[in-house]
Amino acid sequence: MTETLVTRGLRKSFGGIVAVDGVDLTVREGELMAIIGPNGAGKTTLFNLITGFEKPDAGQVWFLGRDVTGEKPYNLARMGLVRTFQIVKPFRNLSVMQNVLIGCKVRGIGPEVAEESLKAVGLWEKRDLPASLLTHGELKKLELARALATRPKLLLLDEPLGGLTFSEAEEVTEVIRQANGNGTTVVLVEHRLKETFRIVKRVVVLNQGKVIYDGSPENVSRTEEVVRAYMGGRSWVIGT
Amino acid sequence: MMARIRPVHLIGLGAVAALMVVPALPGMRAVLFPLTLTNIMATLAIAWNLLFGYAGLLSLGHSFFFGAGGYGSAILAKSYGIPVPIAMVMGAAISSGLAALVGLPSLKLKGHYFVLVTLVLPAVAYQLTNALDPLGGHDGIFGVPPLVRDSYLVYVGSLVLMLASLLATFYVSRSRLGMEMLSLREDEEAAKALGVDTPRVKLYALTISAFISGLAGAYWAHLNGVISPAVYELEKASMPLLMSVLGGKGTMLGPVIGAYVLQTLFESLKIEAIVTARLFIFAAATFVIYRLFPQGLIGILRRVAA
Repeated sequence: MTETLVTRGLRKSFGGIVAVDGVDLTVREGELMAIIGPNGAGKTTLFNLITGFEKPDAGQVWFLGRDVTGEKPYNLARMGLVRTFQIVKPFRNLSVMQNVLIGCKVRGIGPEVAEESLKAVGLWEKRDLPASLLTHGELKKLELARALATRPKLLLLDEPLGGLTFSEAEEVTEVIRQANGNGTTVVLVEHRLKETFRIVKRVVVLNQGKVIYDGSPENVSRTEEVVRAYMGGRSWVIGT
Repeated sequence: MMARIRPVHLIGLGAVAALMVVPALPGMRAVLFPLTLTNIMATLAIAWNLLFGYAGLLSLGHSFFFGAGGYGSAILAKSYGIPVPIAMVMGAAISSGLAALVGLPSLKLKGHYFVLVTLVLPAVAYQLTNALDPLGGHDGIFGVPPLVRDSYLVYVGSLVLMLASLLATFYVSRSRLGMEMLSLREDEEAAKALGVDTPRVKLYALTISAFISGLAGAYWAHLNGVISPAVYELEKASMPLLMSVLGGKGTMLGPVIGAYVLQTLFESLKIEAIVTARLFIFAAATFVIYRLFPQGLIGILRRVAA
């Protein structure tokens, strides 16, 4: 399998706080994996560094074999590296359809892909509504549909299940699984471990900016360091 | 794909026909000049609205681009004998070029700093034109040759200018650039994440808007036969904003409706005290309408129609 994304020694600090501290991460083509970790572990900052929204203090990012360290977010998106945001960023005054069409237009993809991705997340019926009228759950789905409609090679999802009801989360995980089945490599940052572990085959745990675990979801809760990071030393089984 | 003909299209055609015919009627000569001014201000408002209403970039100094086009065209026509229509286009191109020059560094600024730059531009231009003799100094440039002598034709020309600017807005809003501008207005970060080259979109929006503003300014200079540093005073910078917000920002016709309402009020309220305080009165009225109807008069019309 070829490598879709490689980071080496990625580091970023804000003032005196080191948010990402020498992260080496390799994502292989076709993978569906999760990055988890307690609040403030550096997950979103890691996404920001990979997608060009922030410049790393040190280290490199390779995407599809090319050094893209410090590349502009829109250039990365055009290369097929697309992200979503933890706090949804819809185009509120545009229709649901327009929200999704923009990514298609930019990448020269036909409008049928917009239709496809809206249908996939179940928002096709609401395509003519302004995004401002959607519920939080629907906005999360729109965020995902918008990213999918760009036909990304690598999709970085920042808490796609955040704030969703159980049934909504189930729908969204299914959409993610399908997108992955269609050949999109997916990395998601998530706090809802139960649903996440059901679809991913690999989990990376970040704590204080460092990778402390990289392996299967089955073994993650048996790793003492992970449990300590999450539970402050108390023995606990997470994600079950 | 052919657009269906809807009642609103017929109303539009009717309005254009009325604007062509009524001022030509006997006894209507007195309205030609104010209506020509209205069309020019509407064109400036259309240009401003293209930048703010569509791309979300607020300019408080569009008089700079209006004046640049006016000065450029006036000097080219008067001193270099270039035919007026060509001088006007060249004046607009100068305005566009200056916009690119200003925009390249300032559009990279985050948040409100671009707004502050636009606020300063007319003040700098005012001082420069005042101080530099080749630009006419304090008295400005006199004897700017007219586009045509007949005042009805000048009026029709201004109407064509306004309609062409509307058409430009229409085509831009339907294009990929238009979609990118909307995404920029709505959320810059999300636009970037989807592959929108936001610096390029901002620069295009600014240079197109400056071109249209420059054309309006050039038309204005040739209409009056004179252009002076007074063009950079607050009024030309604030009126397009008030007109667009009153009429409905981010809508095609909002700036035109706002321009016609405000200029008519302005022309009919010839009481000295009100004329002096007009900017304050308009701003207050615009603010109230904006709070109640963020979509302006267009928003009110749409509600009534619905």
